[in-house]
Amino acid sequence: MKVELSELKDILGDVFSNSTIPKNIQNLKMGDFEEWDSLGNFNLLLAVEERLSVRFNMEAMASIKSIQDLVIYLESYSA
Amino acid sequence: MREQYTLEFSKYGDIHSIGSDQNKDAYVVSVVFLDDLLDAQPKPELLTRLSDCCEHLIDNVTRRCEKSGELFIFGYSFSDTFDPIRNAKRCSKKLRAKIKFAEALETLCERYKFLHALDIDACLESLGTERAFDQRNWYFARTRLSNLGMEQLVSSVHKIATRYQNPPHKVLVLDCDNTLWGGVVGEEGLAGIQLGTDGPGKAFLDFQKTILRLKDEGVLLALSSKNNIEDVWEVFDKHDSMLMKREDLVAAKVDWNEKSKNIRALSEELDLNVNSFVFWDDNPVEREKVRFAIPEMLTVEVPSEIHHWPALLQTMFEFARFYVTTEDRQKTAQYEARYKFIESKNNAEDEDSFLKSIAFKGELIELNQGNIARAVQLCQKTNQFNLTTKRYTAEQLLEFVRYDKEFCVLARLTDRFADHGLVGLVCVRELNQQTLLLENLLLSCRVLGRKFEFWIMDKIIDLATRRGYKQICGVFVDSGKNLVSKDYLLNCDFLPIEAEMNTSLNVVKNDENATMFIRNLEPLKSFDRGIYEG
Repeated sequence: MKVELSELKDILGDVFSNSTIPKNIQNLKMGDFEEWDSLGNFNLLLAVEERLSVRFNMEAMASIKSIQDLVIYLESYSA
Repeated sequence: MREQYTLEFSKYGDIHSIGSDQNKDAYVVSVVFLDDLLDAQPKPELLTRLSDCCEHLIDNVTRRCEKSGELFIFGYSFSDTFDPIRNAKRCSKKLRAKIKFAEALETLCERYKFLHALDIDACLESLGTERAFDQRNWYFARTRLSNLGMEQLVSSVHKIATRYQNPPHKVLVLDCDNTLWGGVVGEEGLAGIQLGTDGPGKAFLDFQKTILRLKDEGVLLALSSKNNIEDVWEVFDKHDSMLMKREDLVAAKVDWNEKSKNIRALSEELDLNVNSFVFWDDNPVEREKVRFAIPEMLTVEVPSEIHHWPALLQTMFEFARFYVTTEDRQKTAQYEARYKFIESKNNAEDEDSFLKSIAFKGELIELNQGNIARAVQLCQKTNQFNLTTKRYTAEQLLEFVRYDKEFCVLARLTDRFADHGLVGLVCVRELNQQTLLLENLLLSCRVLGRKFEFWIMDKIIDLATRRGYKQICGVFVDSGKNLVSKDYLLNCDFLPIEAEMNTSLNVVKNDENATMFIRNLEPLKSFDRGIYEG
């Protein structure tokens, strides 16, 4: 599927509502702000699932830890 | 009101940590999935392990409740795999254990008013197990719920916490045609309207049943309808299937005026704020007009299909309450009495001699398990005649009584029109050997105008005298809504205290809106004891 970075940025803003999301999110990864810890990462993945109507398998849940990982996974995703 | 919750899940099966969380800025919610706590070993037998586990849980909840009197929500799930074959002949062991557990928890909830139980399986039922749970999340992040399940859980928690802080709505304002019955009575006549045991008529009947159930719980019912009033009363008095009767209503505004105008007038006559009203009308145009004119009132966006109504009304959060007190059940009668009282008062000439003819009787009642729910409810609901607007919990109220059983009392009022029930609360404590501190006094607004507040003060002065104090100190905290209670202190011959005297009295003022007052123990200047019997 095609991925819009602006859409991911919106989701980041919702999930990490206490952090300032930089303009360019392409290189962001887990740990870049306090809220994005392992629980934050889990919340982020659940939010992406809901908003983009996708489903991550266990393997993806364990390995996706950055915007780049996320984009690569989503681009090769087919329902 | 707090907006945050600490959701504490049964931490990786550690049963003893339950309820140990203490967070000053958030409500604590414990969530237990029984499966997390059961050991995987096949022995001893499941039912034994279950009942051991439940006993531990009840112990832990009790310990938590003894430690802290803050709102505590305890959620539990006994979620079970359903097997039609295994469950066809006998009830599952988990279900058996769950029923026992729920009963034990209910006893605790009765004892600790701040404890609330949340049956998570029932809470998630409308979503269904498949959508509410997500096994992947369990293996990945040790949470059994899906995102959707979590949202549903949090929404239930939020409802409980909100109701714990805010009272339910008070008045349900109803339209008539196509709301209480099908069709337009003015056009179709008594025989033409739909109301009875078949088809849509049955749905209207069930809707009325639900309305009456709410009325029994203390919701006041009123009509706001564009109709000829004779037509409406004809249905109320003569239609065989009509369940609601005229006496179920606290007021009826049936004419051709704008509904918003009528509802505003109703609010004034009942002396109840419109933000505690709920408006129910099938007509979207009327709804829109009312919503526009009275945005602070809830106008229900009712579904166009009437068969949804009974369940929708039944489950409306705005009217949901934890328990129903005797006062709730008498609400309609009490407000009707208020009408009669205002009517007689307008006809009488001299106020005191009129008041004497009403045969008032006041009574101060000590706090006990049977009335503490009412005391807490009064603290929650009373905004105008309330010296400090402090929302005491049951625990906090019991603190006063531990010192002296007369230090926290409920006030009950009866007169020849009605038993008004428990309408006031007084909390006092010793400030120093000389001084009794009136920490709070509140009175339900519907009984104002009867000098009852002066009768209560008379009794407080009496108590202070009997206990050997020399003066009474009063606190007023301005909430923006309770100025009437400041005037009350002044009318009871209290004087504001200067700052330095304030310190000498050792008063710690926590609130910058607080003002201190003081009076000696002389009888009230402007109160004729003869108004009250005994």
